[in-house]
Amino acid sequence: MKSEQSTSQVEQLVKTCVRDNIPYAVQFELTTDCNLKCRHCFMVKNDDVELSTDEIKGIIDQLVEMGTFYLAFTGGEIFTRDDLFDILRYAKGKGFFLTLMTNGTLILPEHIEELKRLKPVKFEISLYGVTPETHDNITRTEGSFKQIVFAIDSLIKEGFEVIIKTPLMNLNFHESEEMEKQCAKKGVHLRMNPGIAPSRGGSTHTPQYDLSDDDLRKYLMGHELDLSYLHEKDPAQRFNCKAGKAACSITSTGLVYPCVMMPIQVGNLRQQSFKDIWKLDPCNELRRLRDLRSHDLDECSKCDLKTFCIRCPGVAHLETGDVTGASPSACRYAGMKKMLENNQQINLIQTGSEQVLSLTAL
Amino acid sequence: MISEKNHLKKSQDLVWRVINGEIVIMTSDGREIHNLNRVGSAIWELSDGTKNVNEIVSLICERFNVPFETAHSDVVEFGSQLVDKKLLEIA
Repeated sequence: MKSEQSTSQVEQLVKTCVRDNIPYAVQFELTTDCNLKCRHCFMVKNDDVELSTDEIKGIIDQLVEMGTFYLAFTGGEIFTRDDLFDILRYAKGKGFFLTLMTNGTLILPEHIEELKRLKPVKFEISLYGVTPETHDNITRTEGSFKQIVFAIDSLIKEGFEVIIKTPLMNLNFHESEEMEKQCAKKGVHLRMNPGIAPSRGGSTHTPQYDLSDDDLRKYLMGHELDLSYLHEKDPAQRFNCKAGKAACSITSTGLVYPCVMMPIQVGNLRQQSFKDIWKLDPCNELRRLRDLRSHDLDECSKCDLKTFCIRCPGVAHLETGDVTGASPSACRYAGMKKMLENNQQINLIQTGSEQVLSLTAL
Repeated sequence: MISEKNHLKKSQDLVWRVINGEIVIMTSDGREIHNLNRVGSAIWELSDGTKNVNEIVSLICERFNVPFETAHSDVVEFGSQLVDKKLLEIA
């Protein structure tokens, strides 16, 4: 009767969860309220009655039963909920790896001791620049930069893991290098990616904040895109994902989506149990998503940009309404990445030829 | 090695779930996984800080219909392993 251990067993666990549809990672949106007014925010304010404290606790109980290990609380801004710490204490008591996704502005010094007791595995905080001018222009909230930096510094000082998330836009690209330097200096992981998700309200994506081709090229020349959040290193497998199989998102009114980026309602926790929605009686959309294979993505599976692609099925859905279709933003990055690599190879060949010529001359 | 009078309880900050009928424990750093078999899962669930080793042994005997000696040996050996790995604590 031995207990076995190995890090490869983590991968094995994930595979089991994908195979058996166990929602090992859940993102729980506690509110759509937010104290900032970010220009690029994809969230749509929901005026329906949000889940009560008791409803949230009931859902947390169900997630324990379903096998969820990782629970990320997100918003809106989670710290706008008066009952946040009640919810966090409850979730901690049920044993989860907790992630808190926040803009950081409402984290006060008096919260720190309580947060230390709750031991979240990480905070994910959005920061849009290294100056108040840039950051506050994006959040449209004066003073937000100062508050966020204070929160980040306080959390780091207390030993919390902080991940800074920065979508690169034409509004903040000019500070991207300095962001990297300052994050490295602070010892925090910076998840910086070009591009922003379209609104979840079904509106057409307006590319007004997208990087210009020149800026995108500059960025891609010096960076690999940070795909750590996708947990999938193999591009051939990145056409599909864990959404709807081993991961899901719950909205502040109790709707279940396969992913926060894939607002396809597969159930309503005010009407059905999580087990019914996920296991016993999954709807057709969920079944379809689970049955998708790479070859079902007709256009993408034949695409010669495949190896450069960072396609996220959720973003594809937000951009085009089709989970199986091409994602215009991913196509743009892949096309540019391929062009840059080809240019690099040409440069290498040219440099090599020049060296050969020089050696011959000697 | 744990003794018969020891009360066993689960260590803090572990995350454990029942996956396909068996306990899967993940250590607080998320890097180690411990899969317990059916009997191990029962011992784990009974280790709630209120029962001593002998009481756990008796409950295992009832649940799996095994002789006291067999259950005793399993619980002591397995409980000791988990205490060594810091998954269980002596309450």
